[in-house]
Amino acid sequence: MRTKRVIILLLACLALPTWAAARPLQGDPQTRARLRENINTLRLLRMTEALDLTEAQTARLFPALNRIEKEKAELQRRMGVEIRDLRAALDKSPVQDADILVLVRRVKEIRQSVQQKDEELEALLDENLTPVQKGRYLIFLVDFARGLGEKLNRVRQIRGKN
Amino acid sequence: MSCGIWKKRISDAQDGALSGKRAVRLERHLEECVSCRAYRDDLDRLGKGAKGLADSGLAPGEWEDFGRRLGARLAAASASREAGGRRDDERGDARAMAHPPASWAWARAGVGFLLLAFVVTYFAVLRPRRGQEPASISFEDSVAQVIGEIGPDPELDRSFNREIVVSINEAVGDQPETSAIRFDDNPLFWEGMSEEDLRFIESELRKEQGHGGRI
Amino acid sequence: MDERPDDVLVEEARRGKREAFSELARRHQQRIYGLIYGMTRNRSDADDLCQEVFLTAFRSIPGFHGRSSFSTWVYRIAVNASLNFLKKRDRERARAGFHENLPERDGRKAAASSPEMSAVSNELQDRIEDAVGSLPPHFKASFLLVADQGLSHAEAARALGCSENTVSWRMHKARKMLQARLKPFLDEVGS
Repeated sequence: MRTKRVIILLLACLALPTWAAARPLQGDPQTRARLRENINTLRLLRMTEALDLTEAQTARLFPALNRIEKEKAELQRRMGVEIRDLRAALDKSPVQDADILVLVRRVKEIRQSVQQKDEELEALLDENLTPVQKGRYLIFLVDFARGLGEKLNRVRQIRGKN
Repeated sequence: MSCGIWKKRISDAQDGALSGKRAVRLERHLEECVSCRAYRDDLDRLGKGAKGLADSGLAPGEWEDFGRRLGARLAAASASREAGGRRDDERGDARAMAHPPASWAWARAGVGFLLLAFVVTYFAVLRPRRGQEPASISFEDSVAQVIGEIGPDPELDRSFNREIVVSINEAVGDQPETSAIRFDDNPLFWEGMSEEDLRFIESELRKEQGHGGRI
Repeated sequence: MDERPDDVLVEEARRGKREAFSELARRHQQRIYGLIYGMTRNRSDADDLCQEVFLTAFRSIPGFHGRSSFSTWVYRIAVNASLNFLKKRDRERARAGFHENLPERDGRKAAASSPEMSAVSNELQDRIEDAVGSLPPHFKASFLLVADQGLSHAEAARALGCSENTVSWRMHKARKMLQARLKPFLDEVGS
């Protein structure tokens, strides 16, 4: 089986609607969602190489990683809505304590859910990676994060030129 | 692994950046893959041609002349540094004569405190955070940091997204057009899929293979 | 022949000893000039820039704390100077109506200095030069530091101010671009 072709198709299934760069901007949350998904796609592709994942590992991990990422993205979206409401509630005059407490509780619950997703991800990787791969995964996360920052700087520099 | 990834390994090997086991696996792959072997041979030839690119061809006499000119500029820079230092000393002497030491020490302490306060404020609050080394290694945090830096700038968002898509295309690498997709010989492939995912894959395969598809 | 190690010379140069710095410059000038020449492909520009780089290093050496080696530090100054120079040159050329990023090849290399070069045809060599010259600046800098000057990915990353992973990917992309562009000539040499 051509692993890379499998990976492309897997990722295309799970991220295709947002992969096409030609889609017009449809507003902030959607462009954010598209960017998140593309970053996730790149992460998975680079992870395959960095961790030397076997076909079996990619087949087990990728669908689950994508599902967890989608669920987290949805949680982040809901968090954004609650934070916005919290800001509005704090700006009201007079401030309604009961409303604030409800919103605070909701934000905390969402944050806990995001943490649970992270734990689910860690457990998944623990189950499926060798010790060397686990070590490489941690280094990969640092390198990938740094790479994102460098890409953003480069884009800014190019924009600065034009 | 696809040849796209092997080619990256071949590039790392050219630079001595491929570690033991990976190097062994690469050698094994090169024994079997004609296309990667040809790529490696091309890079070997490229590498030989690249050595000496930076060879300026300057003769020894020209290097001496370069050294002499640099020496003259260093001497001038050195002299100007010393002259600046002497002027500072002279100013310092004049100041010492004009002001009693005690009040000067208080003034210095005050300036030092203000500077310290500014530096702390700058690093804690004001410094623009651009592409810094991430403090956390969580994927979520790194994505959130990048998205936060982009802020409400649709043009930057679009440009950055384009960069990501270009990287995705490069990471996907060269796929031979004729590669056949056979999923059914690996049962593990199906286990992680939801019903919705399976239907999506089926429809994508149909589109890709033209008429009917083979699943 | 001064046999004091670099770090001793650096310490003396930091204390203001000009002859110590001059010795450091003498030891490293050919490689630094080589890198700048690889970037600019013009001897006169490379000469000026190289002088500026060492002057900058001389002025800044009191603040150099030896966190990297002296050569890595000077490479970094040289890379930044070259990239700034290329940006300025491209802007001036664009203003003057030049749109081609053609490297200049001024008559040099009367004698090939590396034994490997004799194994490669002159035509291929010229093509490789042109192809490397037309790489985007950051890829060119990475390629010259690693493939020509022989730095490791880690050393090149320090000189370029980026991560080792970025250097690794840039090398891979640069090689892919070069191989695609030079394929017919590489095949000719191969056969």
